[in-house]
Amino acid sequence: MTDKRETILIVDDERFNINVLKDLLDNDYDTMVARNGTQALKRVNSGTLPDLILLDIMMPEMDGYEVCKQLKESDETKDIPVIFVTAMSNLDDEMKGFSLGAVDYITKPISPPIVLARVKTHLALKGSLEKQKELNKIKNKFLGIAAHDLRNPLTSLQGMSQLMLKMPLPEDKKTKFLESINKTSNQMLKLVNNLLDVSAIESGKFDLHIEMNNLSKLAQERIDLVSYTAKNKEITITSILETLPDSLFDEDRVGQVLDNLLTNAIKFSNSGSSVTITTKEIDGMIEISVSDQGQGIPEDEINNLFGSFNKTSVRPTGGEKSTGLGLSIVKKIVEAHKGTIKVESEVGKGTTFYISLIK
Amino acid sequence: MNKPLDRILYAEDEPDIQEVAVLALETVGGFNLKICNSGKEALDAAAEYQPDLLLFDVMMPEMDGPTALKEIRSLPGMENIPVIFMTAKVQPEEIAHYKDLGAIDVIPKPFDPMSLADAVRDCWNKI
Repeated sequence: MTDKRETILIVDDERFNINVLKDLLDNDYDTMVARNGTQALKRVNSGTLPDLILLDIMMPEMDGYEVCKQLKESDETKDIPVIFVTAMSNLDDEMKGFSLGAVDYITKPISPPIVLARVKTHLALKGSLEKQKELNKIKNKFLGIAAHDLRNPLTSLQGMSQLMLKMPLPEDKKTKFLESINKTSNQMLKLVNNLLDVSAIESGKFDLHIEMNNLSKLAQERIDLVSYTAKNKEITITSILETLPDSLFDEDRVGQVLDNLLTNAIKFSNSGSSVTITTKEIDGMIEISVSDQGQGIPEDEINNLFGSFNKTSVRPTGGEKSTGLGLSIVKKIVEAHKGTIKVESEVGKGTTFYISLIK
Repeated sequence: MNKPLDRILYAEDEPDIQEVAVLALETVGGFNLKICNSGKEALDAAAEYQPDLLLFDVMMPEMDGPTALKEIRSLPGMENIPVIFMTAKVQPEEIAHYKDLGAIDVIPKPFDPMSLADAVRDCWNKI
């Protein structure tokens, strides 16, 4: 359910009936009122879409059936649940209501707890339907991007292997192709692993193995792992690691966070610059920061930095690849530890990521 | 209609894919190729190279394929230069979009390097 109060439109030609429903609902919901069918349609089409409509059937000029029919014909309003509230209690009337697309049928005189319960149920159903639709949309977008990002490396894998099989190539060319095939398949493996991580995170199956670990010790280990890559790009790594007390975190996952931040810093730095890693205790938290003197991230792209597949306009300096998923996974891991991540960046000066974990 | 296809202005930012396509088009296909690493490079080279055909990747840094196409078509004498997009974005609505932009065809990635030249020649002969 959403945090915001839901809005219910009450449509009835009798003031007394309106007041009864309004008194009943005003505590938990925002209510709007219409005294006839025309007014109800006007209200619905004038901007504020109600989340649910309680609709009387017998009204002068335009009856409730006609109102319901018109609501269900419009794409804008067809998903608003309609509950008929009526004194007409025979089975045919009720069937007609349902056949026009109403979700429920309540007979007058009403029982207040029943009305409240049904309203609540139908609002919850509508909420979860909307959520499903939204998730489905995100999933489809995600699949589209993933397919695209796998097709590109497949082009070089398939193309190079095909040429090696079908064409006489000089030895040095063959070696070069094999190196590219190897590099590209590693990159694809990284993308696939990232996709699995995202999928695990999204479906809530992201188990942390929390144990007593030492962040400064972990940082040193992970720095050692990237030092070769850094040296190749002539980037100096400076570490200012405080002696920290052991604390509770998942060593592999936080290691993954550090790997990501360190490789990003190296990826987006020019040779001759330096990357600085600092750990310290601050305000009862343990903080680690990774700071580079790279290109910096434009201000308008910072907000999207942690979204899935949101690559920035900033390009790696040595032709390295990005999956566009690393930072979204980093953020999820940090949040799963109830920690925080923030970023400061200035174009032309560099970027610093700060991660705080509970001590 | 056509004279045989000879000069292709080819833009692709991915070095590995570029290498495969160059072998496919030059060595296998026998075309003359001007190779560019971005849409911007293709735009800068277009007037001097006077290509018969543009063969463009869609997503490239600096300037993407569709933008480069638009710019090149505003150059004198190039208003109707034919273009083929080569892209990994091959959902039906994406292909329709490239055709709307004036592409004579779209070659999906991955492509077969041994038959790429034939595919390009077939597109050319359809014009």
